[in-house]
Amino acid sequence: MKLGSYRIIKLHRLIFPIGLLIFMFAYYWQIKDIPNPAENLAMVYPVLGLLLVLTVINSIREIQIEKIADVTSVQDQEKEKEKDNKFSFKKIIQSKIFVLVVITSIFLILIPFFGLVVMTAFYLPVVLWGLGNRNWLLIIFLPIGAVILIKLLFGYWMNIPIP
Amino acid sequence: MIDGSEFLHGLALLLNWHIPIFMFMGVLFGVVLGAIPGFNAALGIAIMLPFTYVMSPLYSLVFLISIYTGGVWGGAITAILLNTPGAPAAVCTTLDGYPMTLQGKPGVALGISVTSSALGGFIGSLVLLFIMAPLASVALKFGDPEMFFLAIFGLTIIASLKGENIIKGFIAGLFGVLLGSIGMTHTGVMRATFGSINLLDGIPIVPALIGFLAFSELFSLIEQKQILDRKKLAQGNFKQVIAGIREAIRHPITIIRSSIIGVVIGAVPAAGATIGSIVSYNIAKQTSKDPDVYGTGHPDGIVAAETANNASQGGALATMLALGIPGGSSTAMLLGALMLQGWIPGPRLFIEHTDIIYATISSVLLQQIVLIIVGAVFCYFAARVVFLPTNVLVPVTIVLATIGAFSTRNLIFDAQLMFIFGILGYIMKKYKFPPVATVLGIILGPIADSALIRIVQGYSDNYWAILARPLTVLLIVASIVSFALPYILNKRRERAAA
Repeated sequence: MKLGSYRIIKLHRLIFPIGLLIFMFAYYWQIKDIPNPAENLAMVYPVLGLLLVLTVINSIREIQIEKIADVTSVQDQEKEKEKDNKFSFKKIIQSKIFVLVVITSIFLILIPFFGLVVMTAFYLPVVLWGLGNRNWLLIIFLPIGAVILIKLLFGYWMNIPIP
Repeated sequence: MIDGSEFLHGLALLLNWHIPIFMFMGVLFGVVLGAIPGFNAALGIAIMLPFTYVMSPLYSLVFLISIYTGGVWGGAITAILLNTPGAPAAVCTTLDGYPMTLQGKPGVALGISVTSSALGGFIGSLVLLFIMAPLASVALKFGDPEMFFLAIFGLTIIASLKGENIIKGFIAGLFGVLLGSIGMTHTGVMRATFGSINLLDGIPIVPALIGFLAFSELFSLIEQKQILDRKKLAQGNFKQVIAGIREAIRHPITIIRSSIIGVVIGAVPAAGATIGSIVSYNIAKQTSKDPDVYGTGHPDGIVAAETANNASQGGALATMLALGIPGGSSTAMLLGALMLQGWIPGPRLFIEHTDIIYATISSVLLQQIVLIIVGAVFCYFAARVVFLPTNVLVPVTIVLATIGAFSTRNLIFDAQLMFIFGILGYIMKKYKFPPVATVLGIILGPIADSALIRIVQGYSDNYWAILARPLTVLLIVASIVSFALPYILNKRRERAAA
């Protein structure tokens, strides 16, 4: 982020602290009208206060400001661009983590509708393929094995409720 | 004290070929179940409880307590191999166990954990045998002030889990405490449930544990081929497990100290193995000549955590058998098993069934030998998990963890929460906020919080009265020392280096 002849770098390091501040605000909003706060919030208020102070201190320490150098050559221009794009969303989307997170999110959202056994039968082949497995035997037989294991071991033998 | 003739009579009852079979079956089942993330000894006992209805009381108790013995250790397997504690009591095992795996010594770490667990369990059951009644009555002296400062003492471990810097460690820990305070207080007030009825009971520990520690690690692992390259393996698995067993015995002071901590804290109702292992790890680190090596794959860290959590079994059984008070979910299940047999737990149990109680306690001693045998074999095979390709291991672990998170309360919400915590844990790790501090906050925060509410209710007229309790004063001093010690040692080291 540019501010005149200066630039704030590594802004992505504030993702967690900013998220935390939002959570703290939402938390405070939820508890502000609680009866008898001296008793019911005896620990919450000091924790919330301390957390706020530490998060602000940490955020100030995380921000780094540097002067933008006079850029003349094409090479320097490329370097500057690289600095700005160090935290790239494109890279994240292409990563295996992104594939895993998206497929697992869909898996967990759909379990209440189709059940764990059916969803596992779909989830495992898709995620194995998505993570770069090209061994067809594994892609076919691992989900079958997993479904049998879940049904027999957890469902019948241990009698554990399966979603 | 121990009644010699009844004790010998109890021992004679164990001379039956059914007993070792029940012990082996129970320990094996407990270990397997404990190794699955989200499944624990209490669940194992609950699953097997109906089968014990047709058994004799002795067989029933031996079988279920064997599950308890195996289950408590089982949680360490995935904690060491996948940074995934099978149960909350294995949180501190991850701190040194997983780094040791990354150093190419998974078998050594597992060997250390099974041996120290067995030794802790052995000392715990000896205590159970000799001083059960006095221990149980001492444990009941733990009032709210003691529980509050015990939790605070446990939380001071965060001071040494600093991540990139101490501020980030504290932010992560306090965030955990805040998450732990979500839900309904015992005064009936709802705090920050965001309109969700699923949060009325608070943040469930098991999904938080798996999410923050396991999922965050699985997300990091997915970019690499496997957890450990075979070339990095220091030596063969079998040799490693044997080396681990030998290594554990080289830490007698930690074993004895952690066993005592585990037994005493285990005897306190609602404290149990988790707090026992956290406090034990903290004390081991603070009293060490070189505290900086903890958290980097130091054997003493595994010994401290694992000895205490298995030793706590002796303490928990003491409170249950002597007073009929269950300290946790596992002992509550065991209490249920006793009632199924028509027995009434409490002081009269010792008068009416002395021989069987002595036989049961003696069987706990023998179960530790069974644990080493079963555990060593299990370690040999389990250590191979680290060579599996991560693009197979990670999805399978996610499916198992989903079942584990669901089984705690039969809510798919818990599995979804686990996943959200996983993403959060991954982000925290990426920016050097230690997720383990958040987990400690979630575990210890609610204990400190409810104790503090009761302190406000009971001592609001005169808070100074708390200082009249010697144990409280001791814990306050220990907390201050534990909090300040890392800074003092750091300063000293800086001065020495300058």
